[in-house]
Amino acid sequence: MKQEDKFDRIIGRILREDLMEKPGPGFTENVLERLGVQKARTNLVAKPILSFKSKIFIAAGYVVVMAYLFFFTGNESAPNSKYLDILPAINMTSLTSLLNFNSRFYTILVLLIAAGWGLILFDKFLKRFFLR
Amino acid sequence: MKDELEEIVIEKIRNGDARAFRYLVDKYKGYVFNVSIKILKNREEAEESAQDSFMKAFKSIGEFRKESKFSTWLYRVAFNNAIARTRKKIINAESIESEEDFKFTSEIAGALESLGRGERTEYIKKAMDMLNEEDSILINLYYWQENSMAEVSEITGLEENLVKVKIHRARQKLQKHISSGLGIKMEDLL
Repeated sequence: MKQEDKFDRIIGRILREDLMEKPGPGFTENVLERLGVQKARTNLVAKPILSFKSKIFIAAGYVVVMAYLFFFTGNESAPNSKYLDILPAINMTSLTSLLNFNSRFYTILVLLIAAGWGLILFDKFLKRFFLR
Repeated sequence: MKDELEEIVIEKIRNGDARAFRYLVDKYKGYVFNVSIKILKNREEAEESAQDSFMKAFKSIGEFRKESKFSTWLYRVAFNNAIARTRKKIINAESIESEEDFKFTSEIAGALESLGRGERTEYIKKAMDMLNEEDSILINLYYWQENSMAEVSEITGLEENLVKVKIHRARQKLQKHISSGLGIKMEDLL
């Protein structure tokens, strides 16, 4: 029986092109890993690109630099600001100094969270980029 | 059609270049996976079975004698592997159901051709789903790579004559399901 009539051609084409199920995206790599031909991806995935130590260093560096920019460069960057003139005149009560301390504390906290979040995203990006 | 690159790759693997196996996995993973899923009816299990089949094929590639096509040999490995997982005999060598003759192939083909691609696929999918397991496997093996009856016989381990009869019956059933799906009345065809 030869597959030459129209019916067979239509069925064959649909079965081959439209009704074929595809295996998962990592199929070939899994087979090659099992054969020992390719390095196991799972090990690479488990190990982050940035180590915990380097993440801490980067986060600390980011916070220090950002804190410096926030607290110590304001006056220089805006020497003509009207706030500069009235700054010495502010009567620093215990309440305002507390508020001042709190706002700085919260600013650093926000910076730390932003740094941590940014690092996690960056690490994810690196993993996706390098482990493709 | 003879695939010369495939022959070179097989020789490379036999000479110890395991990385060349990627070519064969990429080329046949779809078919091997589909042979497995048709038998096992479960995606995860089929993927595992298909991977096992490639492992077995790799380990025993020295036994491939080039008397048949590599694909036929590989499908046989995949077929046996999936069958072994089900621990049952899906292809029954004994029973041949009697089926009334159905000879409206060209009319059904004409009706199918008048449909859009998506609609046509849908009708054929529904008709395929109505076939029993054995018929579905045989039809797929026959059509996927335009395997001959002899090749289907080699893959399934059934006698060629039996394969001929079974595929003939399966095609008739498929035609019948498609025609009833399309709403083609027997009277219209007569």
